[in-house]
Amino acid sequence: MSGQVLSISGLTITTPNGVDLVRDTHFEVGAHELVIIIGPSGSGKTSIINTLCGLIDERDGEWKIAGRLSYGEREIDLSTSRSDMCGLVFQGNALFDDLSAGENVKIAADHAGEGARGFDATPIMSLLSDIRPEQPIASCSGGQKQRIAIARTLIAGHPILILDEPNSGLDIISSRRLAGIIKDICVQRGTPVLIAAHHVDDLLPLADRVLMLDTRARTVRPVAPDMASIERAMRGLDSEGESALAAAETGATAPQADAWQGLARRGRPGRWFARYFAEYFWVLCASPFMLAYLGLGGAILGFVSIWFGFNYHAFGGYLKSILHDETLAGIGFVQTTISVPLIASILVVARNSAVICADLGNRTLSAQLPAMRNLAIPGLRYLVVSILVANTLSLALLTVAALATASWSALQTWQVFFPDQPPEFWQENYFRRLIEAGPALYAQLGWVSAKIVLSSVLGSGAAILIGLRPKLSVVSINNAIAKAIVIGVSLTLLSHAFFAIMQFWR
Amino acid sequence: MMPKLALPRASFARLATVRLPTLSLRMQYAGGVVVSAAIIAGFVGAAYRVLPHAPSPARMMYFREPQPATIGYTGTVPVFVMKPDHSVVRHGTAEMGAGGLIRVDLFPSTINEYANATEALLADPSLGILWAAATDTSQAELRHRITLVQDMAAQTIERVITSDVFTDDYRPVLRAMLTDAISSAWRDPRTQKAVEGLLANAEPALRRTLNGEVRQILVSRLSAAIWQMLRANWANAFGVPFGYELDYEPAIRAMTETLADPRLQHVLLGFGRAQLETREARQLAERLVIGSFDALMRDRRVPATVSQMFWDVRLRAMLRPFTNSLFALAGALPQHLGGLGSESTLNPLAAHVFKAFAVASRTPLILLVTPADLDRLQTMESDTAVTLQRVAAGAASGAGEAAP
Repeated sequence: MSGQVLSISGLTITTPNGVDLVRDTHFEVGAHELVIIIGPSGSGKTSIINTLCGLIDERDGEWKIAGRLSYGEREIDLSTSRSDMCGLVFQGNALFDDLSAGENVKIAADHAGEGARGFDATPIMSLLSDIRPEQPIASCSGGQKQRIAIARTLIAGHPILILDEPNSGLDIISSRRLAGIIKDICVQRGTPVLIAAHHVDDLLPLADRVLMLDTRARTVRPVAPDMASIERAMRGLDSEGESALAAAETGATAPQADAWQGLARRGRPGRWFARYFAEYFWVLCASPFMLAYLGLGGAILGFVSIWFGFNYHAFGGYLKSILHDETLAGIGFVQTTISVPLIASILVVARNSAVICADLGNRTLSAQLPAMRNLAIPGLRYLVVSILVANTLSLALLTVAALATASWSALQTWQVFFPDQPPEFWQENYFRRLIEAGPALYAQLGWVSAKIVLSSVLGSGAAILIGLRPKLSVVSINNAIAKAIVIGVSLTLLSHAFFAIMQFWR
Repeated sequence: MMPKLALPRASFARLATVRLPTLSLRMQYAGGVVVSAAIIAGFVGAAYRVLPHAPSPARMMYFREPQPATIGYTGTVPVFVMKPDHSVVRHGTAEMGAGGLIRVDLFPSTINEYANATEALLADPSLGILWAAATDTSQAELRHRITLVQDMAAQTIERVITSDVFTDDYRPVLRAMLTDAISSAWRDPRTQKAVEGLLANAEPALRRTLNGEVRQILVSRLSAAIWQMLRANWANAFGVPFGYELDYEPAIRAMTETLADPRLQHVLLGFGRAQLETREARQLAERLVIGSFDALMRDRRVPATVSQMFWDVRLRAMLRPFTNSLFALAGALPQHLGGLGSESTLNPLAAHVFKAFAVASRTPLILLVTPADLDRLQTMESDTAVTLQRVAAGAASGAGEAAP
């Protein structure tokens, strides 16, 4: 492997929005060579790296890629094939935080190709000498995480190593130490190394060459590996051109010059409660998926009640006729006062507990709540009150919606059984117990309301408490979501059971 | 040159790479709002479809029960309509006012389909109305089975009621139930109407006397008279609700004997034997028998006593031929009168009648029929239902009773 050169030729990358990031670009990275690629933010460095590593995400749209990648005897047509020769250390490390430090390395080793089996892993493991294998990822420092990520990538056995912003978030000492480690790997293993970086001060002393992504010429050109040359070259790029490029990539128009005017002036803070309430009400109640979800749940319940209520009488057709009126009246009463409120509560509480817990968990993990406190924003009040009110409103409205679809579905199913009978006959019996109840109907309505309010308050309250607890990783958010669903649904079942007993206690 | 490298992709990975339409956030939100609004409109439509709507004057029909009212019910009753194939479906509800005015609110979904059903029959929930609404085929089948029951009954009952077991253990109980049934039948307004018809030609003084203390004597003696008649009519009695004729001669003879009672002779002096052989007398006897049977069917003691007789090993051997034929008839009744069975669908009229039997309800029903069907039903069974008189909506409003 040693002595082989990574060669990129004729590389053209066009984004799904039709923007050319590079056109017909050529560059090389030799064995034992460490090359830094720089460029303005959003200029497309990560897209070039993803292309070289075969990681272009087609879900973003149709990327147009041309060019060839060759290394030793292997050559890949990038327009038709994905490259698997470059190992990538991702920006932010992309460590599996549900696995320990040792498991992160082990899983890569267990899935390494045949070519990696013969490597001497001792130098790689020396990167991790100060880390316990059983150590959770969340407890590792930034430098430790970087070294685990590099070790994991090297263990996988790719012949070329690419690092995306490896020194992001590292202090100067850690950054320099990391650069030394990378250079050692490069020299000892003869691995070509390409680093995309913004902050190159700590890396430059060890870099063999510097390439710059020129956003004007849409190409990659060499720059002298000293800070003065790099700054000069970067200044020469058109910053307005960068903005236009970024805007074209996202499909948005460039902002007006006065777009930010007025946003700094003080206004009424109360509007932010309305803003958060609207956001939560949309997510917890009014979004199409939520409405369709509850509508479908009600419809299935209505179908099941009638289908099995009438289809499995012990004496079949005899009782289907003789007991028809009472059977239908019983189904209608139970469905409107017990079944639909219960099923709607379970569906809403389960789904919304997950949403609430995930939302607050992410806000906790990304320190949004301390940021709100720091900005004197009553964040908890905005969020918690909005969630409690929106969730209760959601459960009440969606229960009514589920009642509508359950009744409609029950009517359609009933008409399958009795196609000659008029729907008014169904209406007369289905709602008979409620109509006959007279003033007692208000008591029934009160019991149903009590179930809804208690289920909502307990379910969303549990999700809020669980979501606001400290989070160390995405995995802890996942676990919290699962916990919030189980506790929320359990509390909902208990609430309904309690009020159902009270409702019919005679 | 090395072969091209293409990473294998699992089928689920292809799903993940399906390109979704990329819209701006504002467009995504606007699209979501539109879809949500459409779903909410669906909910509103579903609710509108299932919830009962307010009555509309355009769907109203008004009737009046002929006076004097024989059913005299006040409240809400179901309205049915007879289809051309004689099957029956629900057609609306009716509100019966205290003054005999009946407001019928027809279902919107059936009002146009059965626009020709303009005649209304008001009936008690009885086997008679089911018999009247049965098809010709069903009626023929049931007549055949009733004939079989009659044959068996004639042989079996004579053997049973002459046995010591029956005379000692069951006759007193049955007599008590029969007495109650006859009393109930006597109090029925239709029976009273028949009495009035019988006595219409009598002297006024005699009528006053008959309506006083003599009626008590008549009732007690009639119990024995009806019992004697029943002994001679066991078999035919099963067919009475379905239009079978009774042999009234024993009853008439018994009534004659009743009239020979010395206590009555001086007040019945002017009431000649000829009066007792008139059509009115036959109607009275028939009304009493039918009313008695109707009351027996509602008497909760009857099933217990019949069950006890059925399980009585002393009677079982004697009853078996009869019970076998009776069970065969009973098995055919739900199918032919109610349209019931494992392959059947809902017959709301039968369901209403059977529920009335089960809960001892007397909520009457209204059956809307075409003029042709009304003629047929009146010919077949004149006593089962009352034909209602159609009145105009304006007249109903002017009456101030149950007006919309």
